Amino acid sequence: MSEEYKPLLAITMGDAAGSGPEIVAKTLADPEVRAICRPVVIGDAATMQAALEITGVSGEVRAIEKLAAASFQDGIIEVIDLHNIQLDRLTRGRVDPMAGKAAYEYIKLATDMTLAGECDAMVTSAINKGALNKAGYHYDGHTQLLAELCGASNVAMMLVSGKLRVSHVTTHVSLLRAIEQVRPERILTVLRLTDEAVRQMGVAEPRLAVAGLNPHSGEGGLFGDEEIKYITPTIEEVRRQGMNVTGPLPPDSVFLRTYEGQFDAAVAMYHDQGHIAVKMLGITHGVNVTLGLPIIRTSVDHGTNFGKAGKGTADPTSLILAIKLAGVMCRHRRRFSCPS
Amino acid sequence: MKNKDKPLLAVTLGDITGTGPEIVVKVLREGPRDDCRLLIIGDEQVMRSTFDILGARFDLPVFQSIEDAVKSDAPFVMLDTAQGGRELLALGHPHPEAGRMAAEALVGAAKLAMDGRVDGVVYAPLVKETLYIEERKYNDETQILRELLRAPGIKSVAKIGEIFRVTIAEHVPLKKVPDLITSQSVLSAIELLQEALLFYGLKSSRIAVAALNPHAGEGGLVGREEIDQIAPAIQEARAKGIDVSGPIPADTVYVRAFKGQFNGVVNMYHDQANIALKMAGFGEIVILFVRSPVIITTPSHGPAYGKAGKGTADHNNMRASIEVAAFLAQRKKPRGK
Repeated sequence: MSEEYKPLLAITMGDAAGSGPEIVAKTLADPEVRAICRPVVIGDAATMQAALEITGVSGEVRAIEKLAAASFQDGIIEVIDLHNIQLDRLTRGRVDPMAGKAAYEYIKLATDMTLAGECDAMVTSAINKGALNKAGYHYDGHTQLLAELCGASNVAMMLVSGKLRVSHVTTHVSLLRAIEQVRPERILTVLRLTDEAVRQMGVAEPRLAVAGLNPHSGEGGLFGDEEIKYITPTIEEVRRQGMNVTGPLPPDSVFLRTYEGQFDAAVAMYHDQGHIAVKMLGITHGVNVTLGLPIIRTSVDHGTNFGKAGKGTADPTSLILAIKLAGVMCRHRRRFSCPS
Repeated sequence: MKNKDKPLLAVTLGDITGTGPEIVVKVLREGPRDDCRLLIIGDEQVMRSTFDILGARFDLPVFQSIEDAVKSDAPFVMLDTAQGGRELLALGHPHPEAGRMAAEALVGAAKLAMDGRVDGVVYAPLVKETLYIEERKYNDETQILRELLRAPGIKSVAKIGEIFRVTIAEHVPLKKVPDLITSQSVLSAIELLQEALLFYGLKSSRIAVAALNPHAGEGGLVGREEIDQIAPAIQEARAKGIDVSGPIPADTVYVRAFKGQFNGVVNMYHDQANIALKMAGFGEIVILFVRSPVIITTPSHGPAYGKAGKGTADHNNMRASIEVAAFLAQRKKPRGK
């Protein structure tokens, strides 16, 4: 068998005042990362050079203007240099509008390059919402920004942590608003996106589980009727279409059952339902995947970690996992779309 | 501790159509306990049949009167209530007659505690839907105990390992939860938790209040209950001298509690707590009653009808409930007195 295709990944540097650049430097020194992809950093070359020095990672930063100039050699960190950080003005560990503006520009360029097909996928480092806001970009995070840049109206967040995959019907809205958004059309969209994503992650026949909204999944209407009115009819509809979907299952057992291997992914109804499950696993490192974009996008599941910025101690595991998952999804998409 | 100095706890069999009798016998089979003696309240025939189901063989003196039973200093004794019901044993689903028997045993045990003949009560799992005393249907055990013990303020608190928990809106539709989160309900929950921690003898309380909305509302961007209701309640509790933190995002509050940062958690709704505990593999959860004149505990789980009669039911929760009651009884009545 010929060597597996190595997808070209656009990796954003994230917020320069945080630990993103250091994490990127460590990640690109990882032989496993180099073995599965061709990475290019969308960022600021001088900041990456500083990160190399802070972390003590051996290698060389090379600023390039165009992808065509990239060599993808081990030991060389190739950066599409936006030259948008003035290092002498940067205070690490603090919200800095300059870094917020720069972080936005990395995402914008990476998205454009991936949309144009120049890259196979984009993998994003942590940004700081406060810095983004101070720079004049008012988004509640990556997901909303990417949806807008891609012109996608139906996106969903999936967390992947060890063996647990959880996608969310609603995310950054109040609990009351989330409950109002648990309606058939949206549930249907998220079920389809989840099924598609899990296939792209290499599961040929996904088995999906759907959480109820209410305690005990409503217990036959005793503790709420959203299961009866909205969730169960939607599940029946997608089953008729041939999807393997179980539920609604009691929220306090569906995620454990999924983690134990009974299902390939679980669909959570609201942010904390899914996030409590993922965080309680005690697995420190996970990946955040945006479903519903016209491109493949994975991300670290942590913040900018200002406390560790400049110290060289930040852990790159989440970014490494995000890159590996993007690689799996790219290779699957390639096999699927060009059967050679 | 000499047997006679150990607290005596009354233990009921719960709903005999479920796994109550089995988990009681499984605890007894582990042998005499260092922390207490047990007085089993139930029907002798039901007990004998349970021994048969489990293949259990050990000495359990049976008495027909409470006067004789309390004279014994055996590690376990049984008071035969002669309620009958052997045909209902391990039936596997709720039955009104079994519910009546479970409620009567609980009432009998609580009365013994009121009279000072036992030092505490541990009742095996029962179900709300068949909770009858004579012809009257009760909503739950708390209602029975509130009336029987004349304890209008009686409340249950969950003990999960070393963490105590109060949930503000437990068995209600999720969409009704936001309306139930008021500064008053949050303050009451904090105060209840504080009382439970003191009742258990903990000198320092470190209470966490979970948020209602994701990211604790993110400064009002995704929900205002944190700002309008929860934070003012926390301020008020602090002004009363209670060590309380929050509102803390619900997806990290138990991560932090299990690391030892908190020994009490106020939850807003059912799944906030239960998802976290299931994922952490937490099996042993004991319910204990506070603002009660007598010590009462029970396992947090139901009668596990699906396992009835199979001998496979997990009795760790039942044992933990006995341990908690014994601990509380020893605190109340130091040994030898």
